[in-house]
Amino acid sequence: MSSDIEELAREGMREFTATMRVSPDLAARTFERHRQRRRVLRAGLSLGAAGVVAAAAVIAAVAHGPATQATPRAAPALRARLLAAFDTASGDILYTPAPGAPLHGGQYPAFPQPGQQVQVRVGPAVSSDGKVYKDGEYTFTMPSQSALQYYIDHYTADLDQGGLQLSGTAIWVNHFKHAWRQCQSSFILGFTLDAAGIRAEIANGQFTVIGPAELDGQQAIELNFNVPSTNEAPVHTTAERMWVNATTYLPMRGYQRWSNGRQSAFDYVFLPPTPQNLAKLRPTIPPGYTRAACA
Amino acid sequence: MHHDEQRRALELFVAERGDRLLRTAALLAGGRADGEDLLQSALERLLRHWRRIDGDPENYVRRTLYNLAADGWRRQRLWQRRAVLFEPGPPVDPATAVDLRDAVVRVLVRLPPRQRAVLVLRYFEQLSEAETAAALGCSVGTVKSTAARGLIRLRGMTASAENAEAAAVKE
Repeated sequence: MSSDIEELAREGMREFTATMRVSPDLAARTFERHRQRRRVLRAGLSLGAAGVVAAAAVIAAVAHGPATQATPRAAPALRARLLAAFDTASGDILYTPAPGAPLHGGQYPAFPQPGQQVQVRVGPAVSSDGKVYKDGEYTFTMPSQSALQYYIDHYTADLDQGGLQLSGTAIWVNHFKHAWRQCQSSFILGFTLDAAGIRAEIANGQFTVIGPAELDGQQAIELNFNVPSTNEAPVHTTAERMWVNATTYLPMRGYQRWSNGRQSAFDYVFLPPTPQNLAKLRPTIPPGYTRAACA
Repeated sequence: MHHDEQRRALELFVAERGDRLLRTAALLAGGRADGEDLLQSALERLLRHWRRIDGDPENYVRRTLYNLAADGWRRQRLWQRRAVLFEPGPPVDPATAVDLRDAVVRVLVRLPPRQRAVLVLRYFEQLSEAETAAALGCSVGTVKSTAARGLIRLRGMTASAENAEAAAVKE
C-alpha cells in the first residue's frame, strides 16, 4: 500500500486529536456512576424492568413528538397501502433539511429512483464570521435496482459493508480563491431513506407501522424503529420514531433518543421541483471565477 | 481497594493518561463527545475489575475501548443509518492539504468499526501488525487485509482531491 495515504491518515488523526483534553470531572463522574450502579445492584433492583419503565416515560414525554392516538398495531390494509405507496413515491422533489437535523450536507432530491441522475449539493459552507467560503455539488447516477437491492440486502446482513462506492462528477467552488473545479470523483452512498430502503425495513419487521396520527394538524402515519433491547455501545439509540404524511407518504418528522439522554427531532421539508427550487441544488459560480484543471 | 483509595487511583490514572486515551477513543468513536462517553464506559469497567487486573491498567482500558467500539458501533450503525438520506463523500477543497487531512479523518470515522480500529491502532497508535492483531484478538493476516481495505477506502475518497491538489501545484 502506498505510503502517502498512510502518512495522510497519520497526520490527519494527530491533527484531529491534538487539542483534545478530558473533561476535568471525568474521573468524578465515572466514579459516581460506578457507585450508583453498585447501589442499584445491591438493592437487588431489576435494571431491565427499570429500563423498560424509563423508556416508556421518555417516549411519553417527547417534547417534539405529536399527540397521537396511534393504535399499537396497524391494520394489515394500512400496512399494505403504505408498502405500495413507497413503491410509487418518486420524483425530483426537493428535500431541505431542517436546522439541527442530523444529516450531512445540503439539499437533495427525495426518493431517487434507480438509474436517475442525482445532484447533491454540499454546502454552502459558512465560516464563523458569516462568509460563504466554499460550496460543492456531486452528480451521480443511482445504481440499478438490482445493485441497490443487493446493497440493501448485503448491508442488513453484514454491517461491515460500510457503504456503496459510486463515481460521478464533483464541483468545488472556492470563494476565497475565486476558483472552481469540476472533476471526476467517488462517493460513498449511505443507506437511503427511499422507497426501497423503507420497504425493506417494513417487510423485514425492523420498522413497525404503529398507525394513524396527527402531526401539526396533518394526518400522518407513525412508524416505530424496533431498537434492540440490549446494546452495550457507550452511546446507543434507545427510541426512534418516524412520521410520514398519510397522503403523500413522504417523511414528515424523525425523532431519536440516545442512552446519554440526548434527543433530537427534525422535520423533513419538501418543496415542489420548480426551476427555482431545483436551482438550489446547484452551487453558484460567480462571474469572473477561474476554472482550475483536474489532474 | 477501599472506595476513597479507588477514587484517588482513578483520578490519578485519568490525570496521567486520560488525554492520550481520549484521543484514541475519539478516533474510534468518531468525535470528542462520543469518545469521552466511550472512555467513561471503559473506565467504569476498569473500576469493576481493577482488583483482578494484572499489569498496567492502561492495557486493559485500551483493549476495552477497542472491543466496545467495535461491538457497539457494529450494532449502533443499524440504527444510525436511518438518519441518513444521502451520505455523499465529504466536501473537500482540493486546494489545501489541511482540508485533505480533514477529509481523511471524516472518511475514517465513517469506516466500518473494525477497519477504523485497525487503522487507528496501526497509524495513530503506531502498533505493529502483530501488536494490532493481539489487541483486537485476530490474526495478523486479518489485520493486513483489513488495513488494506481501509486504506483503499480512504484513497478512493480522497483520490480526486489529491489529483486536483497535484494539478494545482503544477499550475
